[in-house]
Amino acid sequence: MGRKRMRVRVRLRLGALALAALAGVLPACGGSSDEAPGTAPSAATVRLGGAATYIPSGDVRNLEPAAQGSVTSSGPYMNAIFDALFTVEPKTGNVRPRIATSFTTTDGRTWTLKLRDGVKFSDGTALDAEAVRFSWERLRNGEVQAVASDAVRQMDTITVVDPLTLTVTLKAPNWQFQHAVQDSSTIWIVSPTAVRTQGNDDFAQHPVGAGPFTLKSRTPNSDTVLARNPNYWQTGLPKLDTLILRPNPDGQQALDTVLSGGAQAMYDGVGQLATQGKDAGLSAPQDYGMQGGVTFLFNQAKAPFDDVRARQAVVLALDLDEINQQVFEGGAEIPKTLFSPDSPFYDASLTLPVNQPEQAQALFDELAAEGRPVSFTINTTSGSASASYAKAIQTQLSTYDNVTVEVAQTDVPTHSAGLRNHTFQLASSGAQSVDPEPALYAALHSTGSNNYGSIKDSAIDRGLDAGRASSDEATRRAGYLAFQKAVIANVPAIWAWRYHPVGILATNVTGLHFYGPSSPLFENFGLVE
Amino acid sequence: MSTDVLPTTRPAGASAGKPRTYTLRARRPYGLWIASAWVLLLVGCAVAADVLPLADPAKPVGRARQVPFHSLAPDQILGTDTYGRSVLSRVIFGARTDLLVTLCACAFGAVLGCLLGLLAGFVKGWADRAVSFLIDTLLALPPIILLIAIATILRPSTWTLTFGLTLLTVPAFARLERGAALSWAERPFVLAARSYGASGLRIAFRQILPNSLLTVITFVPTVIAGLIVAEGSLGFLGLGIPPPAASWGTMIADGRASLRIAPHEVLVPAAVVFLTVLALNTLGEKVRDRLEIRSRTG
Repeated sequence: MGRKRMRVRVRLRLGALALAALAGVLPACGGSSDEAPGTAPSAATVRLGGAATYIPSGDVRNLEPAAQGSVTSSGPYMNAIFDALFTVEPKTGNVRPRIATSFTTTDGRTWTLKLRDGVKFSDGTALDAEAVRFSWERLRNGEVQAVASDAVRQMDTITVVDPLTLTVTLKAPNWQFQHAVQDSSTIWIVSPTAVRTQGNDDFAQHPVGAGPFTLKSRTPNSDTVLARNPNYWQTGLPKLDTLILRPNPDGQQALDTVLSGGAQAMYDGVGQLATQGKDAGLSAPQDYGMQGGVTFLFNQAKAPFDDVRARQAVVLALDLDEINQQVFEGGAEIPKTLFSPDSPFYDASLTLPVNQPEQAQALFDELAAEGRPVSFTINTTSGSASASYAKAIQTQLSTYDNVTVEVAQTDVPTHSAGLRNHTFQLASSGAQSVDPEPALYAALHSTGSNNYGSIKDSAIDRGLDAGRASSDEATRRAGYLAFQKAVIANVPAIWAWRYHPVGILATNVTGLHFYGPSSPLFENFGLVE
Repeated sequence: MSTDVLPTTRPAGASAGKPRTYTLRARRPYGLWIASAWVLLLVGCAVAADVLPLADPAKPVGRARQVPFHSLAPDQILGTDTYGRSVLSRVIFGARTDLLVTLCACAFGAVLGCLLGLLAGFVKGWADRAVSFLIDTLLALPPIILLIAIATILRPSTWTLTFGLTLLTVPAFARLERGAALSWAERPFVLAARSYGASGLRIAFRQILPNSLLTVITFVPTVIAGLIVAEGSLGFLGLGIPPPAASWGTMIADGRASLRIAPHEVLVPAAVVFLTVLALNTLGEKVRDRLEIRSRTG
C-alpha cells in the first residue's frame, strides 16, 4: 500500500472528511441479533466508570440527526447519543444489526425492518417502529431542515406493521437499499415524545436518543460532555461514566494531544498518523481500506473537461506517486484500481490510467491546435490535504505546454456550494465506501444525488444499475466489472488517494470500534485497569 | 571620526583636583547602514528578479525538500520546497510580490488617509466628526478579522490583498495627518496666509500638507513592516496570494506541513521576513530621529 514511516505534519482529516462520501454496508442484513455489536474487549482488562476524551475531526452544527449531512463527521456525536440501526464489518461488509435485528427484502422494493425488543430512549419511552417511522418521515417532510439523503429520496411509503416491525416501499427496486439507510442520518432514531415536547429547535440542542450516552453539556467547537445513559439497551454498558468529545481538525495536533494524555482516542483518515502514533507507543487496532477514493472531480458540463481528451491529458500528465511523496511523504495509498484487492469486485487488469507524459503533452498540443487549450481552476478547501494536493497538481502541470492551472481555495461551505451548483471545473471531492453502494452510485450515476461532475455515461449507469439491482454477488460483480471499464474510459476524476480510516488509542483505553469511514461506537470504550 | 569635547563641570561634592573631561563620540550608524543595505539588496533583487539566473518559481527544479547547500547551483542553494521548487527563487520572487503589495497598500493608504486627516484637521466641525467616526469604526475591527473577511468575500488575489491592507493603513495615516493639520493650522504663517485672503484649498494643500508630510514620511517604513507581517499572516492562513505565485507568507504556510523533516522551507522565508521587518523598523526609527533633530534645529 505504500504507507511508509511518517514524520511530517499532515492536515488531512478536515479535508478528507469534507470530501468523504459515506460508507455503505454489504448485503447480509438479518444477521444474528444476539451478536455483540461492538468489538468487546476482555472484561478483565476494562474497568467500569471514569472519563475519557475522543477527538472528532470537527464539531457538528447541532445535535439534530436530520441536520447531519455525513456520518463521517457527525458519527461520533450521533452514535454516542442515538446509537445506530446498523453497523457493518469493514473487512467483510456483513451487517451487524444493533437496534434493528434485521432489514430484509424479497423483491428489492419492499423492505422490512425488525427492531430489537425492549430498547428505550433515555427519556424512558420505547424505541419502536413508530419512532422509526416518525424519524424517517421528519427527514423528508420538511418539518426540519434535513440534509437530503439518498436513502430518503428513494423511499415511497413507510408503514408500521406492529410495534417491532416496519416496512418501507421504494420508488424503484434497490436490492442494496440497506447501504443507503446505514450510510445516512436514517440510522439515528429520535424520541418522538422528546421532539413533540421540546420542539425541533430545542431538540437540536438537547437531543434524546437511545445511545450509550446522554448530553450533559456542550460548548460549540469545544467540548461536548456526555454522561452514561442508565437506560441503555445493552446491559452493563457503556463502560465509561463520562465521554468527552473535543473536536480538532488538525490531525497532528490531535495526535500530539493523545500522546500527551490530553485525550485518549482519535482516528486518522489516511494511516500515516496511525503509523506515527504506533511508533510512539499508541495502538491502532483497526485499519481498513475503502472502495473508490478521495478524488479531484472533473465537471463534464464545462469546458475544457467536457472533452474526454482534456480529462485524459490531465490524468496522464500527473505522477500521483510523486505527489504522494510530496504531500504525504509516501504515506497514502494511491489507487491503482477503482476497487481495492479485498473487494469482491476487484480485477487486477482494470487499472486506472497512469502517468504517460508524452501522451499527455500530445493531447494538450492537439487540443491547443484545435483552439481549445486546457486552462482551468482547481477548487479546493483551504488548509486541507486536498489543497496541498491541488498545488502539487498545479506544479506538475506547470512543466507541460498548452495547459494553465489556477488553484482556488475556499472554506468548506463555499466549496460544497460550488460542487452542488456545478460551478467548478476541477474540484476536490470524494467517492468512497466499503461497498460501491451508495457512494459510487451517488457520485457517478447520471441520476445520482451527488453527481457533481454532471456525468452522463450510459455505460457507467448500466454497471451501477446492475450492481444495485441484484443481491447475487456474481451478477453484481459482472455489473461492477463493466462499471470499472466504463469509468476508466470516461475518466470522471483524478483518483487522488484511498481513504484509510484507522482509530488511534492511548495505551490506557480499549474497546473503541469503528465502522464505515471513521464512525466510532463508544459503548465498549473504557479505561484499562 | 568627529569628537565633540564637552565643557566639564565638577559634580557637587566632588573633590577638587584635575578637571575630568567627558567626551561624546558620535557613533557610526552601523544599524542604519546594515538596514539600508538589506532593504536595498531586497529591492534590487525584487526588481531584477527576471534577469537574475533564477528558476521559474512556479516550476519544479529538482526533488522535493532538498536541504540548503546540497547543491551550489543557484536554483538549489537554499534547497527546494515540498513541490520541488527553488526556495531561493521563491524568496526573491516573493520579495517582489510582498514589496509590491505592501508599497501599493501603503501608498494608497497614505494618500487616502492624509486626505481624510487633512479634511478633519483643517475643516473641523462636521468633517472632523465624520472622519473620526469612520476611523474609529475601522479601528474597532480587528485587523486580521477584517482581512479574512475581505479575502473570503472577494476572491483572493493581489488586488484583493492590496485593498485589504490599504484599509488597514488608512486610519493610522488619517489620525497622524489630522493631528498634524490641527497643529499646523494654528501656526502664524497659516494665519498670515488667511489674512492675505488665500483660499482654504490653497492653505490646505500649499501650507499645511507639505509641512505635515514629514511626520507621515517617517511613519512609512514602520507601516510597511507591519503590512509585511499582515500579508504573511494572511498567506499563512491560506488567504494570501493565490498559488503558484510566491509570497513569503504562502511559503511559510506551504512549508508548515514539512516543518519536522524540512525546516528550511519555513525558516528561510521566516528569516527573510524577520530581517526585513527589523530593517524597516530600524530605518523608520533612524529616519524619524534625524528628521526630528532637523526639525528642531532647523
